[in-house]
Amino acid sequence: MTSAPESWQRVLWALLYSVQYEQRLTDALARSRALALILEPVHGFSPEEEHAALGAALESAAPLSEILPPPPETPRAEEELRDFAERVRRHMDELRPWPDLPFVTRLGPLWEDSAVIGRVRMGHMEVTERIRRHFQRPETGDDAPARLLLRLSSGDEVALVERGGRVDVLTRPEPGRAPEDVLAAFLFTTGLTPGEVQDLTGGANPASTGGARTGWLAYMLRREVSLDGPGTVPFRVFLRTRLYCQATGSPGVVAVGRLVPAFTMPEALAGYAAGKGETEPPRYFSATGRDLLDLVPEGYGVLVDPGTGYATAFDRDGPR
Amino acid sequence: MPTPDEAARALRTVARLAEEQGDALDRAFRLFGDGALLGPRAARLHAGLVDRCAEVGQAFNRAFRQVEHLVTAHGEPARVPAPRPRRPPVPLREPPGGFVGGDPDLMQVIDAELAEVAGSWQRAGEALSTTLARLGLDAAPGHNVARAGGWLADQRPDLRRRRAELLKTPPPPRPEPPPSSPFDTVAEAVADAAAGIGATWAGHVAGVASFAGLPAAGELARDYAEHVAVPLVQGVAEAVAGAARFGWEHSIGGLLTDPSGMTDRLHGAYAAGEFAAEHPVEFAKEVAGWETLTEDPARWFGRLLPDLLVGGGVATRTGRIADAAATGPRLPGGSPIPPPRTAADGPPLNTIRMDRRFEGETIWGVQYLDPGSLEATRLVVHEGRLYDVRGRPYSTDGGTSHWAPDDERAIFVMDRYGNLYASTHHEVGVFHHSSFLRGRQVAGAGDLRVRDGVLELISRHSGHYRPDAGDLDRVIDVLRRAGIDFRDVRREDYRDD
Repeated sequence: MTSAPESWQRVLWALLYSVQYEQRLTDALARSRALALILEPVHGFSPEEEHAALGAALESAAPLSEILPPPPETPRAEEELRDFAERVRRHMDELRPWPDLPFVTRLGPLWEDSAVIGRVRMGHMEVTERIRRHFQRPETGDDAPARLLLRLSSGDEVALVERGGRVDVLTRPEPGRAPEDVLAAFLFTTGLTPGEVQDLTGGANPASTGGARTGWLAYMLRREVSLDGPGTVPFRVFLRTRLYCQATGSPGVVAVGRLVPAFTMPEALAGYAAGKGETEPPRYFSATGRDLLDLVPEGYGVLVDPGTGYATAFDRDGPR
Repeated sequence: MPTPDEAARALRTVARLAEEQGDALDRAFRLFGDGALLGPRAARLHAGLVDRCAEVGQAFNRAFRQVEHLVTAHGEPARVPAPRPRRPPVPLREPPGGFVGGDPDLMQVIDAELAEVAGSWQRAGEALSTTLARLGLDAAPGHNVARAGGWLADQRPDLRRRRAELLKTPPPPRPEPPPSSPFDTVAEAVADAAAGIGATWAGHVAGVASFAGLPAAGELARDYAEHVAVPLVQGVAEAVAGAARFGWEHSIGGLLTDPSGMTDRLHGAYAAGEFAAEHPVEFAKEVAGWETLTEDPARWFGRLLPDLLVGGGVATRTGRIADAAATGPRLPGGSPIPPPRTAADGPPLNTIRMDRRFEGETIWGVQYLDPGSLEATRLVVHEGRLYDVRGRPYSTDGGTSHWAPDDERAIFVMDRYGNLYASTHHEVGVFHHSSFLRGRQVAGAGDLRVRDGVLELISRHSGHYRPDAGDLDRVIDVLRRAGIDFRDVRREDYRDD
């Protein structure tokens, strides 16, 4: 293929690549790949766009086997590939409603009217290891800076651009949207800390979620729980993430049993309090996971986002 | 009982002896200040020298006071000024990293100065003892001075041994210049062409010589081409490229096209100072091109020629200094991150090609790393453990994904020179084994599982390269020779093997 592929073909290429050496395209494999498309979308696509891409592939008369020819040891008939794509799409539907992702990556050119709102104090390969997304270089060549376009769960569009060994955070100015809030949403959704990102907005609130619907810690926990259970990485994310806890009239924290409920978003804390029958909005304080563990007595732990499918308890040694 | 004249003469002798013991010592202290010696052992030598210096000063003062007392006891004024207090010794330069070492050339000078001081003190001590004894005074000050000279003489063998060690230590691999530099590309092309022309020429001469019944002449021609002419041309090409690169980087053009480059190079020069202070052996040899000199003298001389002819020595030398210091982070123990291995480090490994199905894969969004990003993924082996190029023990924590739900792993490739590159983030459609070396051939590819630098598992899982068992053996062999113990490392071939 020499011409630029259609967008649905990129999704199919990734899907077929991931199963090319599998002996059998089982239903369990289809479900696993559906989960991958939902929780770890192909670069440049949202889960909804991937779902649409699968639909476009199934409607297309173009042979799927030509997108990525199967290796000789696992030949595939066209029908087999189409059947697999169909099952993956069906599993995606069965897994609805899909969880909010902290961000999705986007394709396209960099905006000309962008403003720098922050500077990440690490190289782009380090940022990749942290946010699990590789930067891209435009096809103009290696001289162009590596970059990554994100749409945050706050709705903001943010570009990360490698400059001089550091990474600039750019956004497109939007009327009525303060750069401070965009930066706060960026920190919340990527899990990067205020100490790692130089604030060039004049003062983002580190305790704010910037209007984002879900943050990095919740995403990592959800993802890891859907794999094998949380390992060391979510614990490290937990330690540096700001969490919201219900405040009391006296010094201390509210504990349920030997666990202190802590929430990745203040709205979730309000929902939890309402669920307990409290009519007044709860008073809360926020602290990083590390500080919380220092605050609670020996033998107590912190339960992150109780009531969710990914709720995870941590103590000083890691996930319980 | 000495006469007043004898006492007065002795006083002048003591004062003269005291005055004569300063210059060589001052020079030795200044050499310490110049960084001839650094580190804890240097500090001990310096402290010992300061103590001996004080003892010698006190000894001369004591001797002078004894004799002065004798003179004035005769009712004569001393008429000879007391020995001047010596200037305080030049303090030892603080090494930036607690490094033991020094500058070989300055060490040679300091050894000579210490030899002079030692000899001078020993002679002065004997003279002082004799003078004091002749006057019937306590000769202990003279013995003390002579003993201090003996102490100094005893330090010299260790100093010479350390200098010899410094010059014997094998050099680290030379940092590879940025592969994208057009200057180096030209130099490589010239070097390749020189090798080709040399081989062709030698072949022709050998043919003619054989035809003429003089096979020995053909052998001579081959030797000449292989060991003299071709390396000489290659060396010249490398030196010219180095000087050209330096000239460009420091010109207005270089500033315009790479405005941060000058800052980086200044930082490199500063780092060079630090590097030189902490690792003078490596530094000295980088500057001298030691490896080339010992392995390929003709090539070394070829590099030197442009320096001699156009005075570019400073340029190429400065470039090497900056390159040597651009190592930045350090491994445990303080050693710098070794630069990537190159063709100069030995014969290349056998390689395997990428599956042709993936040629042109960038159209699907697969990313290929530029040299700087590739370097950020390099791992090095140090004392049996894997470290990243920031000097941190490598771990594959977090290397899981729904797309490849194995336990926590990183994908890796090894290039033809034995460099290992790894990433814990295998992003389907974006980052694959082919991303590291831009789809070029690799010596091996697969997965790693590493905890705190300890390799636990190695596989040959790569859809792009499909290495066979022999390819994995090759990687393991390189890593084993680098110091990794494979007794507890799990080896994983394909699941259906």
